[in-house]
Parts: sequence; C-alpha cells; structure tokens
Amino acid sequence: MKRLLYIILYIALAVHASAQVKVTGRVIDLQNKPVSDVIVKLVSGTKTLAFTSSNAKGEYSLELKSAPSGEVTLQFTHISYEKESERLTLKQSGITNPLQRKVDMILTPKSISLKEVRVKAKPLWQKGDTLSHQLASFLGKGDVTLEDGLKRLPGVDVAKSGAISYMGTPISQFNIEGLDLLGGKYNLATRNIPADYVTNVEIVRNHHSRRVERDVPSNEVSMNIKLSKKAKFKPFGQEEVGAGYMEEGNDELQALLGVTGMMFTDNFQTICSLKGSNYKSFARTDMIDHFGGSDVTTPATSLFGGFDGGAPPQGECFYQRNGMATLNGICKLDSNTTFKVNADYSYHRATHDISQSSTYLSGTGDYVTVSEQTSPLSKVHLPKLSMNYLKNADRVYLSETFFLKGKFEQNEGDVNTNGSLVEQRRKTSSFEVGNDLFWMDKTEKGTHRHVNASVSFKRTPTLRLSFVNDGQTYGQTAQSSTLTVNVGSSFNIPIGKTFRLSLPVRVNAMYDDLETERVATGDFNHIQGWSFTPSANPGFEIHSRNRRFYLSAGLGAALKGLYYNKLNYTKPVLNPSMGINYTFSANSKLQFSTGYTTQIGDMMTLLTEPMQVGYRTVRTSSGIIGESNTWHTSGDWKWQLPMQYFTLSLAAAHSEGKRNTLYSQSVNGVDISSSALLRDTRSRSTNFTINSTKSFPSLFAKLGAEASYGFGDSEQAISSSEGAADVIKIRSNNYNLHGNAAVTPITWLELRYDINYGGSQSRYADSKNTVTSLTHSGAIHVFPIATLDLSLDYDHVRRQITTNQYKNMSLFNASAQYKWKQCVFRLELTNLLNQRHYAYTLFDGINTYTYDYGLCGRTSMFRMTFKL
Amino acid sequence: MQKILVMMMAFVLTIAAQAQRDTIGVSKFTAIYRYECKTTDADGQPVTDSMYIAVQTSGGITKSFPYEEYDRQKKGGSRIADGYLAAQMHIGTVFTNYPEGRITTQEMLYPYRYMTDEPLEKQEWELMEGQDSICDYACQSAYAKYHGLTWNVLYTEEVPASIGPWKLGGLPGLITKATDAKGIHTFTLYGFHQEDTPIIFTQYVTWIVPDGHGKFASQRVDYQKMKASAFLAYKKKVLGNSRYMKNPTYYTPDPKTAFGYVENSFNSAGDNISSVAGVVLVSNPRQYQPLELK
Repeated sequence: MKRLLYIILYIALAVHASAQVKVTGRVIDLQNKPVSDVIVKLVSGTKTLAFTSSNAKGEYSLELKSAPSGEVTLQFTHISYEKESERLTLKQSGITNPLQRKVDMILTPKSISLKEVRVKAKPLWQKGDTLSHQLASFLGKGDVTLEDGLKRLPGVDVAKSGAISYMGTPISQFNIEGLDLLGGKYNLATRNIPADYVTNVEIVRNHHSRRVERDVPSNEVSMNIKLSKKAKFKPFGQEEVGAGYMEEGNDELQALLGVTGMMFTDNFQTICSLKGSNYKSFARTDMIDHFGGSDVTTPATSLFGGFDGGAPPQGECFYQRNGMATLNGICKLDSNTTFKVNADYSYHRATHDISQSSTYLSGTGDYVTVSEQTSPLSKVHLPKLSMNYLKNADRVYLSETFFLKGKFEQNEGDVNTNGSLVEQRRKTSSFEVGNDLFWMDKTEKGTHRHVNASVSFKRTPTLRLSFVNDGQTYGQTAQSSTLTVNVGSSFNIPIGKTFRLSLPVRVNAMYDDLETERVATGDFNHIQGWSFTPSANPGFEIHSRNRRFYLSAGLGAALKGLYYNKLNYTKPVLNPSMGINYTFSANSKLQFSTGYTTQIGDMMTLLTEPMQVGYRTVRTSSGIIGESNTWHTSGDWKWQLPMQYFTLSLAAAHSEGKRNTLYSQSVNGVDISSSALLRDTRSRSTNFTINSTKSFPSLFAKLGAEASYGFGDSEQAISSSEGAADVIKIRSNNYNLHGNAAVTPITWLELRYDINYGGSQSRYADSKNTVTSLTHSGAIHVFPIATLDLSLDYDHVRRQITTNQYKNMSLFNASAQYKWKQCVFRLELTNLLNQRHYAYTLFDGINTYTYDYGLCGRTSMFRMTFKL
Repeated sequence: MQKILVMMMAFVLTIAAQAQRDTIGVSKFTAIYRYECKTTDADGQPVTDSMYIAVQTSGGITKSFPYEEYDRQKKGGSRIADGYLAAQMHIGTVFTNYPEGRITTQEMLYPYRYMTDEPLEKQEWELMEGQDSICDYACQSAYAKYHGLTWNVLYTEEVPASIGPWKLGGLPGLITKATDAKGIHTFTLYGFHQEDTPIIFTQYVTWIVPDGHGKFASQRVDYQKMKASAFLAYKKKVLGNSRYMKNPTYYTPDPKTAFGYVENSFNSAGDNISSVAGVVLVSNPRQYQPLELK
C-alpha cells in the first residue's frame, strides 16, 4: 500500500514538474556593463504572462507555472534604452523536467522624451476648504489691477460693479492679509492695488466669519489677498490723471484725477483715497458697498422716491460729475482683536435723456399709452463714519459697531408727457445714527451662546416733492422719524455627538412718526406708534457623525404687534423652516431648504389719504393690514473640482404665495392710481438654473456656460371708473442662455467672447406678449510687444421692441495701453460709432414699458497711472 | 529688538538649514504626482488635502518625497516648512530598495524625526483588462493588496520604469494613478522633470536654533530609528486618538514649555509654519487616514 502511494506521489510530482518554465538571463549595454531596472516581460499575443525587472547585476529570472503553447515573446524595456524582444517556444513535447531557458540581451541607449511639466508655478493649492491661487500664474499681459487678475481665476466672476462671486455665490468677506479693512467697499482694494503686488488669492469655501461657529455648516465664501514683500511695511499707492473729450456732451472736456495711498504692516493697514472726475463713474465705483448698508432709507424717502430714470444694461448713458474722499484704517490690538475706522464722503451728479412709453390696461379693456420725455438730474451727497471693535477668537466673538451716515438728495427734471410739459422737483435730506453689539461664545462642551443688541435712529426732517403743470402747482411734503431697537439671544446646545438644540429669541421694536401732506388738496396722513414683534425660533439640528449629513428645523414663532394711532393689531404667526445638507466630498454638496413664511403688513397700509407719489400717480393705501403667506422650496447641487479647474452647479426653486389683498390699478386719462382690494390672491413661481465653468491654465483659457428657465403666475385687478374691478390672471415665463470664453491662442493675442440670449413671455386674457434679446460682446487684445496692449471690444444687441419690430445696436470701444516702469499710459476711445440711443421693452404684468435711453457721444480719454 | 531677532532668525532658518547628505544615485528623470487624501478637519468637516510628490529612481533605488523639498534641493537649500504638508498628511519620504532589499522611511512627528526600516516585499499585482489615459499616456489597470489596503492602479508601459509614488511599484511600467479601494488616498501622475538630479539620503539634519541666551547655535537633529511596524503602531495610537484633533501635541509637553521657543518660517505658498527642533508643528490637524494598516 505504501509503495503504491509513493508511486502516485512520484507521478504527480513528475506531471507538475513537466509544466514549470523558468527563463533567466542577464542584460548588458554596449559597453558590456550590466543594466538594472530593465522590465523583462513574457507576453503571448497581447496577454502578459509574467514580468520582472533586472537587478543591479543586470540579472533577471522569470517563472511560469505551466509552459504556454505556441510562440511567446520576451520583451526588454528600459526608459533609457531601445526596446528589444526575442521570440521563444517554451512548450516542448517529451520533456518531463522543469524547462529552463537562458536569454541574455544587449540594449542600445536611446534618448528619452517625457512630457515635461512645470510644477514650480503651482498655480493652485487646495488646503481643506481654502483654494490658494498664485496670481502671477493667471495674469495676462495687459492686466494692471488686482481686479484684472481676479477675473482670470477659475470659478471667479467679477461683475461690472466690481462685485466678486465664486461659483455664483457672492463673497461675504474680503480680507487683506487676514484683516477685513474695507467691508463691502472692496473695490477700493481691487481697483487700486496693482496686480503684481499680490502673491496669492485665497478663496475660502464654507467660510465662518465668527470663529466660534466653525463647527456649524456654512455656505459662505470669502476671499483673502496675500501681498508681496514690496507691498508690506512701507507706504505705496497710485496717482491717476487723465484728460479727454466727449462729443456733444454736457461737459465736452473730460478730466479725472485721483490719488490713493495705502500701507500694510502686520498690525496696521490703511487705504486712503481722493478722487474726482466728470468721466464715467471713475470716482463713484470705488465707493460701491457690495454688502449694502451704506444707504439711508427712511419711510418718507421710500414712499416718495427720486426720479433717476434707470439705466440701460449696455452703453454709457449718464453725464456725470463725481468725487470721493475716503480714510480707512484697521489696527490689530492682539492676535484676535482689531479696531477699525472707516470714514468716507462721496458726491455724484448725474443726468441723462430718456423717452418712455407706458401702455396700461384700463378697466374698459382699452389700452392707454403715455409717452414721456425727460432728462432727470440727481445730485447726491453721502457722508459716512463707522467704527468697529472686533474680538474674533476661537471661543469668544465680540463685535461693537457705531455708525453715522447721511444722504442729501436733490432731483429735478422736467417731463414732456403727451405734449404737455410738467416741472418736477424733489429735495430731501436724511441721516441715521446707530450702534450694533454682537457677543457670542462657545463653551468647553460646544454650546454656543449669543446676545445681540442694536439701536438706530433715522430721520428725514423734510422731503419736498413739487410739480408744476400749466401754471398749476401741486406736490407733496413728508417727514419721518424711526427708532429701531433689536435685542436677541440664543443658545445652541449639543446633545450627544449628533444632535444640537437651539433656542434663539428676539425682540424687534420700532417707533415711527410719519407725516405726509398733499399740497393743493391738503390730504394729510399722520401715523405715530409702535411696531413690536417678539419672536422665538426653537429648533434642532441633526448631523451624522462624519458631519456629511445635516438636517435642521426651526419653528419660527412670532407675535406681530402694530400699535399705531387707534390701531391695536396683534397676531401670532409661525414661519417653520427646514434645511438639509449632504456633503458627498469636499468638492460636492447637495442642499435643500423649505419654509413657510407669513408676512404681516406695516404702518404704510394705514396711509388712507391720497398721496402724490409722482406727477401723474396718486397712491392711496387700503387701511387693511396685508397678510401674505408664502411657501418656498429650493435645492441645489454644487460640484467643484478646483484642481481640475471645473465647477458645475444645478439649482431649482419653487414658491407659492397667498395674500389677502390684491393690487389694483386704475387708469383715468394719463393719471394712474393704485390701491389694494380686500381679496385673496395667489401667485406661483418656479426657476431652474445650471451653470458651469472650466479653465485650462496651460492654455490660458477660461470657459463658462449658464442657462436658466422660470415660469409663474400672479393676479392683478383693473378698476374701472365706476369702481368695479376685473381680476386678471397673468402667466409668465422666461429663459436665458449665457456663454463666455476667454482664450489666449498665442502669446501675443487674447480673445474674449460673451453671448447672452434671453426671452420672456407674458400672457393674460387673450393677450400674449413675447420679447427676445440677443447680446453678444467680444474683445480682441493684441500685444505687439509685451508691454503694449491694443484692444478693441464691441457689444452687439438685438432686442425685440414690439411683436415684429427689432432693434439692432452695436457699440465699439478701443484702447491702447503701454506699461513703462512704474507707469501705465492708456488711451481709451468709447462709443466709436457714436451710437446715441438704446431701446428695449419690459413687461410688468399687464403693463408694457418701452424705454429709449440717450447714450453719451463718442469719447476719448488719455489717462496715466503712476505707482507711488 | 526682539522682533528684529525673530525676523533675523526666520531668515537664518530659511537659508541656513543643513543636512548630512549622501548622494545614493542620479535620477535621469523625476516623476511628479499629486497626492490627495480625503479626511475631516478638526470640526469634523470633510476636506480633501493635497500635495505634490516627487519620485526619483536610479540603480533599483526609488525615492518618493515632497515636491517642495525636491524643488528647494535643486536650488541648493532646504527648509523645515517644506515638509509641512507631508507632516500634516502623514506621508513620509520613502527610499525603496535602500539599503538593498529594504525600505527606509523618514517622517516628522513632533517632537522627533523618525527613520524606519522594513523589508522590501514584492507587491503581487493582478493585471486587469481595463484601459485608461493619464497625462496622455495609455494605461492598463491592476490591483494588489499591500499592507492591509487594496490598491487599484493604472500604469503605462510607455514609460518602462517599474516605479510609483510612496511605496508602490513593481509593475511593468510607471504607475500613473493609484487609489485605495475606499477612495481615501489617490496618487495621480502630474508630469515629469527630465533632468539629472541627485538622489539624496540624509543621515541627520542641522538647524540653527536659539541657545536661550539671545544667541543662536547649530543643533544636530538625529533621526529616531524604529522598525516600520513599531512606528506604524505608534502613529495609530497617537494620531488615532481623538485628542489629536483638538491638540496635535497632546501626547507630549507643550512645545514652548518643552523647548522654550517656537520658530516660524515660510513655505513656498507664503504660509507661516511653526517648528521646534527641526520638526514642524501641525496647526491644521486632520483625521488620521493611514496609508497602511499593518
């Protein structure tokens, strides 16, 4: 038996051994030196049977469990040598012992060619939520200011106003070396700091302005600028001076002058600027506050607004004079504490020409058209002072802000309407003084507590609105005072590792005193009293342990109280809301929110005596406290691949609303009056948006595309002279497609192209109005030498005026810019074709408005910028 | 005066760092990879950290190390701060097949620089049918289990070098992309620098440090030598502790207390990096995501 077992084992071993193959050998070069790291591979057809690499002696050894049938190839590859191969037949009949083959090989050197990259520029770093762009890697030859450079960054958009957004989200904070010097007036930095003084631009996604809230989900985006050594520790700045000529302008001689100085040290930063011009918005754009809050709006100025006439989306229409002076300083008291002072004053005077045709649907079913020509002139002075003390540490946050601001306005502009001339004048001055305090801390256990208190007082001592028509004078006067007090507190307590409970409470109290008197008729309104709204929003937040999933909900309970004159109105309201966030990865996030909001009207609805709000418009409020209920749902998904310079976002939103009053319009001749009827009305709207950007830094190319579609319906009433009212349901939809590209195909040429196609449709009863518009603009920059930028840009607009009527318009601008040492010389030629009109149509429910704006004539400007 | 001293020292630290260097080979080319690691930050928020890695090869030896160090080395200098991202992402400088048949890894983990040793194990790759393209190179796919993680890789036979990033290699072509099965770690080929560069092995480093009397002194910092398995166990214990996320030096006395100073210098991005005794201090701790489990 044992002998039999031995025989079986021997046979089995023999069979196994007969299948084994071993290939060995040595690889040498032409000098007979061993070659290491040679990849030796045995292949049959396209299939790799075995592989190894040679050692320092050039030796290799390959083993196969079984001999392959047919011919196989032994390949020898090395990055520095020519590829060699040898054909072998390893399966031989009658051989029972393991097959051993020895194959030596001589390799011939070759020159290698790999795809070279330059990592040293390292244009983009990702450190968690921070994307750090090395600005120099993105700059184009013609770029001068920081703003020019920001426009080149992937995912970053800079609007004409200078507003910066990343992936469609406006930035909520703009820092220089980690300090928030300018708040929303960051144009002062982006338009005055030379691009070559900036090393890095950091974009912080999921930004938390309060460090104590770092563990709370955030959708905010902030930007931080890092300066080069030459911009630190010593003052620098720039001086701008220019002169030019405008054809047929109010001021034919154009001029600009500006001086900006700044200094950035570790503990102190300042930017001071003084500018004045009558050329475009030269001094005005630096003072735009992208976060709002610089304006002063009172009940009196809201009721009786100015008549600036608006502006067209393309072309320069304003004849302006503007000036500004600003002083900004921030001092770092310790690593977490700063003290900041911002003081500024700006003035602008603007006038332009506008023809407007308004078509109203009257109660009899007829259309009434009113044609007007006017040249409104407005003069505005805006002084502002604010001081802020901020402590922003990991465990505690304290912000204390005092502000004082004013607005002094003067409007005038005679209007020619359907053949008669009406004089218009408006003059008002307003001021606001206030203080904001916000304190928050975070305990060891992660509980957030906060207290805030703000108080402000704003007043319009006098507002005068006057009209003269055929020697008859009429108008309106008004005054208002408002004292607002807001006090709030909240607790946000973690319970376990995945649950948080929150209880914010808040009290809003507002005292108003508003008087309006209609000149000539003596109609008088006087409202005095309090609005008092205590609210509590108990809620919770659940998140997964890895914090990818968040769900939060709040009850939003409030007690709305209006106690004006003889009115005693108290009503409890609930505004429940819910939000869900899911973070797939650092680059992909899904958000969903839904909420139900109840809004209660304010004291304005008690203005039951007629008010002359325009030369042909009288407004009378119903006296009914309006109530609107809106359910709003929205969701969006963002996918950002910063390292691949790719961003994609999809968004959808839907809202449905119900209101207990209906807006009613009454047309009598050219007089339009409006009021509110006590009747429930409903409205709905739905919107979809998709946008994507992709950059190719190696090609200096940036592409973007955006599409949106929306539809909705609403109701409006038309009152007839007999007092009866017809209710009209209005359905509307709109769409918009937008694409842009910036490409540098060769080093001396840059091309930019932007196309926008949009349409809107409005339907009511048997009427249907459709308008479309196509806008495309482009620019060509040619660099004959690196420091000379010759550019030509154009805007072409094709807009539908009426059903079968279109208007085409082209605007061409050209410029030549030369950089020499610390100077930039620039010649700008605006509106080369001397286009003088821009017209378009808007539908607003049942009314149609057609605007025809006068454009400024051909303008030339030679300006010089000197770095100081 | 103190400020001037600190500035002077930052300057000195920037340029005067030295090391005992051995040139162990000359690489004909350097492959550059981008390494990404998906993890969470101290607040539990998901983040993806990334850094560039340079891979040199010569005579069977491969060196994988931070690109910033490679770039600085070419200019003849070194900075502590250049190793910051590697310290934050817990990926060391890896010498494969040096010494022969061994893997040597150098890594900073406060308060020491460690040098570990382990045998060079053959990675048993299963070649797959899938094809793709990375950096315009036609690639094939393969997978293998290595030290507890399964790695899915793409490699290209168009670059016949049996190397890859970190400790990965041993395929019939250059690894162009490697991702672990959970998708936490990803190495992607970014490109090449085609030039002769020395492969440098440092025995110890020397930094200029304050001597406590207002002056500076040269200090030699030796590597703490350990077996790779013991160092891995130590890392799991220290970095895997939840206290690490709140205080990255919780396991030792506070750096300022222990050493009497904390130095600051700048990395290539201009970030201020703190260090003590030639070892960077991690200021943005991340949830530890080990590259190997055993």
